[in-house]
Amino acid sequence: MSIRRITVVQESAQAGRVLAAVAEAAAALEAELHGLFLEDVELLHFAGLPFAREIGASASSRGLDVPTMERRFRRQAEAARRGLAAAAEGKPVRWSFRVERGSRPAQLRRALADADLVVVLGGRGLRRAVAVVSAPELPQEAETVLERLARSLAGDVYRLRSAVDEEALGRLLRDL
Amino acid sequence: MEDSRPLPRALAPADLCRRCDPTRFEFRTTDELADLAGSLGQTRAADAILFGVGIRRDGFNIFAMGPEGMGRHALVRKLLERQAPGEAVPSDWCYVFNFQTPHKPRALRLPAGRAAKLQQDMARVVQDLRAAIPAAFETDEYRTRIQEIETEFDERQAKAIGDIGGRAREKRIALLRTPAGFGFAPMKPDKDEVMEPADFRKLAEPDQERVQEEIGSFQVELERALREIPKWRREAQRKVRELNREVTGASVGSLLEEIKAEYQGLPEVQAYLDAVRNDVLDHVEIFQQPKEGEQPTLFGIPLVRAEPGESPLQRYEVNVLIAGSADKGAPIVYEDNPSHDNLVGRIEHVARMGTLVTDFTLIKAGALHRANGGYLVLDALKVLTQPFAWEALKRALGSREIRAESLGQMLSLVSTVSLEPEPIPLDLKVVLVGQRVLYYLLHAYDPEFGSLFKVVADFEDDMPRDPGADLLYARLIATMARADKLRALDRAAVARAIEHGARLAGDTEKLSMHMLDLADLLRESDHFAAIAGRAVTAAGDVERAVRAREERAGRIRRRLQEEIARGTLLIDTAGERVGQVNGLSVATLGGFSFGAPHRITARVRLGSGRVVDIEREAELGGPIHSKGVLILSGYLAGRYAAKTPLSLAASLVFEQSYGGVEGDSASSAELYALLSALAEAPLRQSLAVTGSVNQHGDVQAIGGVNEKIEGFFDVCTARGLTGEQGVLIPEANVKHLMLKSEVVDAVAAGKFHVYPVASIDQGIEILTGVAAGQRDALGKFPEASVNGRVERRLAEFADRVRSFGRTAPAAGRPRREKK
Repeated sequence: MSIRRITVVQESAQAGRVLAAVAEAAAALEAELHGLFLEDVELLHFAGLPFAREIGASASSRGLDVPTMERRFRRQAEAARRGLAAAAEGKPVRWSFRVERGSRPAQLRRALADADLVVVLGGRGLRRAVAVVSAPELPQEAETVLERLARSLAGDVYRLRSAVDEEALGRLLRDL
Repeated sequence: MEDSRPLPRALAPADLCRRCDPTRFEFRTTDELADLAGSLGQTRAADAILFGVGIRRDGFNIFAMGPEGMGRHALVRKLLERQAPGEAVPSDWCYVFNFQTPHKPRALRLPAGRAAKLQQDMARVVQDLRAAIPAAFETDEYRTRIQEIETEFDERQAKAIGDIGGRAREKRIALLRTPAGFGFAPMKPDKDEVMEPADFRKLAEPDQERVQEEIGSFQVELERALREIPKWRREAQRKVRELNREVTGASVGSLLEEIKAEYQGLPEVQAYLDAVRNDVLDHVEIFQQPKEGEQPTLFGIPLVRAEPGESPLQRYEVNVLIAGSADKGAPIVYEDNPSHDNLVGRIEHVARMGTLVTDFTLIKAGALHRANGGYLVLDALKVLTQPFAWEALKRALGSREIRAESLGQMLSLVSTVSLEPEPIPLDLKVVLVGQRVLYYLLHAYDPEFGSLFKVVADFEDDMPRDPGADLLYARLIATMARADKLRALDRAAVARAIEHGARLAGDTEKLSMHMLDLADLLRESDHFAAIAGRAVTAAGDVERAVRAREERAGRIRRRLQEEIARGTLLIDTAGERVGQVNGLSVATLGGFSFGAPHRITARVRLGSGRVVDIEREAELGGPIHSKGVLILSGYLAGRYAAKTPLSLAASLVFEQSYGGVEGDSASSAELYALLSALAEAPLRQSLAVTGSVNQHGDVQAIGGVNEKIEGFFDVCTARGLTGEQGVLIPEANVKHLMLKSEVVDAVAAGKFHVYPVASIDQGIEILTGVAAGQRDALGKFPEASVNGRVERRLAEFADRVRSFGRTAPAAGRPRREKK
């Protein structure tokens, strides 16, 4: 059992260094790399509310509407795609990139089911990055690569015993 | 003044040149002579220099003055080289970064030879730190603790936001993370999902309002929480800094303690090393080398990175300004180009990003730094001609410290990043070497000069030629010849060189101390000896060198002689003429002096007692020449017209002189011409005259007597010597005669004569062949004597003026009136 498919969930445009570390790991594991940009419908619902306001990290707030939110999604998706392309360039990695709109938990669930390793960059839980492995055991080389990746991400690595470990999954989804 | 002395006789050949007899020397060639250890003839200057060097007080700097080529530099150097090795080696100096005020680099004093060591030590420390500090950061302990801090910060943040989210949730309001921040939205009643806008609008109006109100209050709460975050971040950063200090403190401390131990007893160095340790701990991040192409960050915030070319570690370098070596004694520095910057040092700039910047490593030492604790030899003229160099030198000597400051900075010409290096205490002797005129001018016009250069070493132009002097001079010649790797000179050659030395001094009792001239003569003689294929330089070679030198410089002299021979310049060397005499002048061009005769004429008529000097009227005569002519009126009036008005108008002129006349050496010749014109007594044109005269008629000494005699001799020789020809010179000049051998030979053969004359009476008698005449018991000059004739003529003039005055009351403004 090894890691064959890596999905990197890009919810915001990320620093090249982090993406490069993911791409490096993919190259080392000889795994396919899939970029996924999530357009959360909940955010669109929120933006559609007449009184929707966004409070920035600097504690300033501003009004928000659906076209603004969609523009942001498009711009961020484009930046995410470019970031991934730059990270993969020059590395022996097969990669792809797609944009999906839908409910975030459902999409994450699907991503976890499809891939052996999911890296969530810029997630909701205020962590910089989270990696989730859906394999209970890995060969030693893969473990080493994973360890290095975790250090580069300066984030946590979650382990799922299997893709159907519902309890752990529920906890994880809240955190992600 | 009446002169009753007998007429002087022409000088004997022996009086014309004081020969140096080679047979008096016991050596055969100069190889047998020992080197001259001391400084020949410059005892006074040497004593002054030694006094100045020995006295350790402020302002006792030395001014070595004398003409060029006297060997001033050589003597100064020789005496300093004797003194300096025994003195203490001065301290080393270096500039280091000032961690408190970076634009004022600190000067560190170290024992001789230690500055370079400190520089190496610091370079090694930086090298070690570059390894030790990243290593300290690589440890698991550090990583864990950093993560702890980060996690603490993250959790604090997450908790604050999470709390609000939790309470919102209780009210069925979701806290959403948007791409650029947070937002609150009502949830679906049945699911943990955001209510769709359409559903929200379906709610009853009061419900909508309630939800909005609740969201509003949560927003305010969240804003308040978010405002706290920067404070927490700062706190975390402070913790990281403290951790960095703690983690690196041990390795940094031990490294610096290690070198501190080597500099015990040097509190300034110790203080500097302490400052280095603190600064390193405050700036550990600059020792971490980020990966290529990556911006170093702290919490994702990019750190300001040094520009390319500027290493942030440069601040720990040591700029060694002066590194002495412990075994060499005090330094002797001769600065050949004493510009302002070369004296006080300069602060260089480098262009970076289009601007000029500088730092303490770009401070460069000047001559004052290098000579500090020793001796600095400078050429006075060079210092004075370099802009601001003299001011800078005086300021440094006056304040006893060296303040490195660029000229542009001093004059505010450049406005760029600048430094104010800490001044370095100055303790040195400056020896200025210059001409006498500079010393006297500085003394007169620069009030500070006297207090800064209290010792004057005055070099002699010549030395007395007493019995032992010839041998000493011979040893000097031997020393110079050996130093210059020239052939040895045989004793006849030495004798000839000594004669040349006396001729240069223009005195039989002196020898020239012009070392450069003597050295050149020896080199030139050596050249001719080489051409002749001789192993030892002979007298003939020296003679040839002297002749060749005259020949090389003698174009103008030859042209003058030629024009006299061709009759363009009118000079008589035979016959007699009233009111006309051969005067003698000397010209110096390019260091070569030569004499030539000049025709001087006088015309007299009735007038108001004025002797008109045509040279002065035409503004061709200098003030001394005018003075000489005015003395003539005094002589005439006092001697011949004591009781009657001097009713003479006379005009005097240097014929065919177009270039101006200065000096009073022709005043006796002018007086002879005047007396001849008054007495209508013709003067022998075969004689030439030189000498100045006073109001009593005494003939006084003049300069350039040898050149003048030779000038007339050459003219006569070109026309053929008749045996009648000769020169009248002041008696006081006899001791200066060092005539060339041709003149001496001609005198010996009775073909030429040199008459020493003490008074005008003696001179006029020789020139006219008529007795000058002395007043008898009744106070009358003999009728036929020159003086009698002059007195009679002047009395005649006076009578005529009186009779003229009766008819024309206003003398000088005659009225037309019938008699």
